[in-house]
Amino acid sequence: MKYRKLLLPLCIVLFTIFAYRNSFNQFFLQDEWLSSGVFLYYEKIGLLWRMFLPFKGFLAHFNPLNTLFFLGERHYFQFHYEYYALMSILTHAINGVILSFFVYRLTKKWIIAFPVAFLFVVNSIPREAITWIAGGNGLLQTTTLFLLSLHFLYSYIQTRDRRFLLLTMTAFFLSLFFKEDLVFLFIGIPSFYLILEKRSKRSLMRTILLALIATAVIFLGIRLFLVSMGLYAYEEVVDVSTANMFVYPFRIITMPLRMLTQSFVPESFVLSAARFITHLGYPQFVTKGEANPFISETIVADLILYIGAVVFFSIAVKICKILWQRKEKNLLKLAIFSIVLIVESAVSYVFVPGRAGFFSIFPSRYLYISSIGASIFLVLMVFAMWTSIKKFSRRVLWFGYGAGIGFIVIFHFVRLQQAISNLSEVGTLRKSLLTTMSTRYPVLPQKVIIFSESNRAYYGSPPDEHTLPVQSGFGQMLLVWYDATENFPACLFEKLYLYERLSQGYRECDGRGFGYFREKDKLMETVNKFDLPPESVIGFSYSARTQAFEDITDEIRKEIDL
Amino acid sequence: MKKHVAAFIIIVLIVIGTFWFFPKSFFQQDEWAIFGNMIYTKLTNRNLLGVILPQSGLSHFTPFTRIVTRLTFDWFGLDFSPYVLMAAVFHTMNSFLLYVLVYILFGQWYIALFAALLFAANANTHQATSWLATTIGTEGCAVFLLLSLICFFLYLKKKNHMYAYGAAVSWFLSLGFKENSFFLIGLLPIYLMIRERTVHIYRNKSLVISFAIVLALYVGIRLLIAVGAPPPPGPAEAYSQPDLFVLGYRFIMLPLRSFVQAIVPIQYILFLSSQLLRLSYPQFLADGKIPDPYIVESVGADIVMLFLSLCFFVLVYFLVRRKTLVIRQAVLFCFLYVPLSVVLLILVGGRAGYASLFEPRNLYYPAIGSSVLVGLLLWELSTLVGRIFRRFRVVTIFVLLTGTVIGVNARLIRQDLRILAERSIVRKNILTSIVSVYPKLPENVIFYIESDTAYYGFAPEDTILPFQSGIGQTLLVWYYAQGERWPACFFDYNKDYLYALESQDYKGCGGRGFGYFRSYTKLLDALREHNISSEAVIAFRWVGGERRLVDETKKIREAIARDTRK
Repeated sequence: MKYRKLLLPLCIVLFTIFAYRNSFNQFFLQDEWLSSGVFLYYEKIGLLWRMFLPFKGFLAHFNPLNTLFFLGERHYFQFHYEYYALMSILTHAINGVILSFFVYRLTKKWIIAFPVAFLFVVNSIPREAITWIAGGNGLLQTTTLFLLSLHFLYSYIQTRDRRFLLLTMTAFFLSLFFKEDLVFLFIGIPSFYLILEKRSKRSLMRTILLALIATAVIFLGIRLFLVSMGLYAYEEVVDVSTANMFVYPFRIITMPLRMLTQSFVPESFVLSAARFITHLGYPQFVTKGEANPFISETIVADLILYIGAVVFFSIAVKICKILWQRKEKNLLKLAIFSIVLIVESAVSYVFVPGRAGFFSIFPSRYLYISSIGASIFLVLMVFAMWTSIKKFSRRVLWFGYGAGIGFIVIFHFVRLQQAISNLSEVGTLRKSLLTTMSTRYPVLPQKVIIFSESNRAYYGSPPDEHTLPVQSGFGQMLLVWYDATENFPACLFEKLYLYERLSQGYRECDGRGFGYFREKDKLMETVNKFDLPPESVIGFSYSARTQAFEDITDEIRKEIDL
Repeated sequence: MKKHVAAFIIIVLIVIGTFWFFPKSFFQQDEWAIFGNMIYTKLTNRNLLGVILPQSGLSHFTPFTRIVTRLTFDWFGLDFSPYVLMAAVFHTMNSFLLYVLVYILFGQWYIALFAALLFAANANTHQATSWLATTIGTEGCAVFLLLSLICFFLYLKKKNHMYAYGAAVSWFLSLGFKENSFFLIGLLPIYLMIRERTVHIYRNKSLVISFAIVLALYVGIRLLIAVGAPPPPGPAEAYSQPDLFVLGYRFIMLPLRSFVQAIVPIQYILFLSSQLLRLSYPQFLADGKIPDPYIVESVGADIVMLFLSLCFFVLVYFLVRRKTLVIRQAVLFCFLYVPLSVVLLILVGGRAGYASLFEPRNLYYPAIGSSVLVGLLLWELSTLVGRIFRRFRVVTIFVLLTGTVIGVNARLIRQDLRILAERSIVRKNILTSIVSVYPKLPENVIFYIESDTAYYGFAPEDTILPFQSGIGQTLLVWYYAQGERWPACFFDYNKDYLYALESQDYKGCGGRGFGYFRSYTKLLDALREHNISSEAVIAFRWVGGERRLVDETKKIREAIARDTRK
């Protein structure tokens, strides 16, 4: 037994690393550059503490612990992406281990706990939480705290020792400062208590509610205090406006339904089905054989998600009925817990501010917490279905159960490999753009303009807006990348200079000049305007077909000379 | 017996109250085409077969509807009132037959009466009564459909073979009015199979044999007509059949769409759909306020119907699950009846088949089943409320609940009919004004009517009169009723002369000429082409804002004389 307790976690960790092994070849995507730029700015002006303040806006983020974590990572890892990836993968693996122990504590069945953990760590649906450093940071740690709080809550229910309740609330409270994805626990903890407790007692419930109120008061108190003092971090680049008051109750009803389907069905499947249904049912939104994406990927996708939720509820009722008939009370509790977890985890996203709050398809990382519930439910479903068949021998049934779980794990494993391999390809390419440039030009002139031309538009840009295959402004990426050697002045990082993906421009301040251009006309105009020598321009050309990034500095300089 | 008489009187009163504004309306659109059609059969001295045969092998075959239509046209002509009375009588009859059906099913007077009243005042189906073009077919079919169901349930109760034969004969008669009742051949066996948990063909042999004979007879007649018949008129794409996947999707959506639309007024579904767009999809709002109507009426409405149908199903399940076998069997019947009654609509070809919202007249049949379900549901709800609030009697709560539902529906119908009446008065005034000024027409005549307003979604420059079909054809029919002797060629139903809303043309045949124009240039062209003098022209101008028709015959004739001289 002792060995098993050690061996199984080790297996989960090794399996997670194996599943995500190609992640080490990825590279920073988008928000990582933003965070790094902001960090450099505040560090250079000596106001690093401001990064720990909330953003401006009633529903904006306030994640000081996440900031601390990021600063730590940046300090130790710099631009070594593989360490960031390792950190994410290990945290994910640890979450899997904690989850397996929680399931085991509830069911006393390793045959359930182990597959749940395996399925959770390999689940391809919430992969963004692990493969996207900026998206996953905070969320992974918050989930660790969530899983710990579940353990503490269960211990409290079993022992009635209030120290466990204190630990539950502490873990919950700390998680809120990593990321607000666990806000739903304000209703989650009481409902989990009702599910996990054999006979709920009013006095215990009252204690839990009081503890929650205290947590809420402290959390809101800190936020309100900072707001009242006018202490804000820099303004977020995203829209943080609040919506019409009727929107939120509406979302509380609809988001959990959408979350239910999306927790089990990969996004690409939903979108394909939506396009297919648009063809079948709404041909008025089909042009030249293509379904209008503004319709099919929003309202039609929602229709499918709602229908999926109805199907899910029908299956859930059936599974619960089987477990009830088989007198598997703990498994039944776990099944109900998993459904409630999926449904309630959606509540946190009801308050996503601005236009972003009107999303139809949940971004992959938002499904990380619900994937815990989904993994539990899937395993219980396969277990209930196979064990409810009476005519086969026990050995056949266990084989069927194993095969069922194996099929789901392999399905997700394959999808995960495909997704990571795509990301790795893009990551390697992006990294090569930066390394090629820094190898060729390790030291930049005091006043420098970098010009890059491309022959393709990326990421939904208009066809004539040719860019490099990067998700944020290449100029700002270069600033961050070169800063270690160039030590640019703070003013070059101010107001997210050159961060927008299509942005180009030139700025001179504190004795240094830095610019980035994609269009030659504008480059020439700027060179003339600032009377810059040809030597200050560095030029590269990117071919989308061959993915070659060639130095064209001499040609550009000659053109300027002319 | 007294209570049945009382029920009948209440139904009559509700129908009168609900359709109060109906007599003030007028013929709308397809009525003019049907009248033209009937005039053609008269002028060409068609025999009975000529009247009942369809235009093509694959289009509708509704012999009894055609016969009744011809008879009513012979008797009533263009007098609107008798048609109104007939439609109201048919509707009252159907409501009362539903009362009888529910009474046979449950034996409870209250439920039967209120189910009948819910049906009588269903806001979504009033088109079946208020649009006279469809009344005879739709309501006539429903009369015999209900009779067939009554006979069927009496047969199940009493096992008397005569009821089985009655059910089959009534089904045949209903098919002769409209094909919509064809679904009974699927519904009844499925219901029997589920109810009796096995197939008892021998035990129900009289039922099986009589329905099989009717089916064979009907299919045989249809095949006979279809063989070698020409294809239906109109563009081929209007009849293009959807593929299997499309049919599958429509079949899945059918229960959701049919239940909700048979119960909830369409206006409310569209309101909820608009709210859905406001709350969830701001990108589909024009100017940030007005929801895109194409989305509201299609996928938005489908989402709303999905939610409403789920709420309805869950409510029915919880209220009925522990009830008596009779109630559960009746609920089962309604749950099968409602979607199956519109199942044939999934086969509708062309663009029309993709509509999420059914044509209101097609909801007349599902409304029969949904009224029973809603009546039952409200009764069970009243019982539940009565158990909680013991001070109130269940019947009082039931009357209040059903009264509210009926009141809301009746109000919507009255609103619709009032609007229809307002429009109808304008149309009728236009026709009577023209006839009063020009009671007799020359041998060759051309109506030239200008308008300054565009109606019914036409482009602002496409100004027409406020009619839903071509005013040229309407004038032909209207003058025929005033004694004008037209040749049959003006009404040839394969050509639909001047029936299309935007049509304008001149035709000379059978020794007479008739034309209608709204474009002055085209009028001049026609006059030159057919060498007609300006004296043949009767001209009016419609001032939409003032709702006034101005006689401009003299002015236009002078202008024509001037312009043709150039």
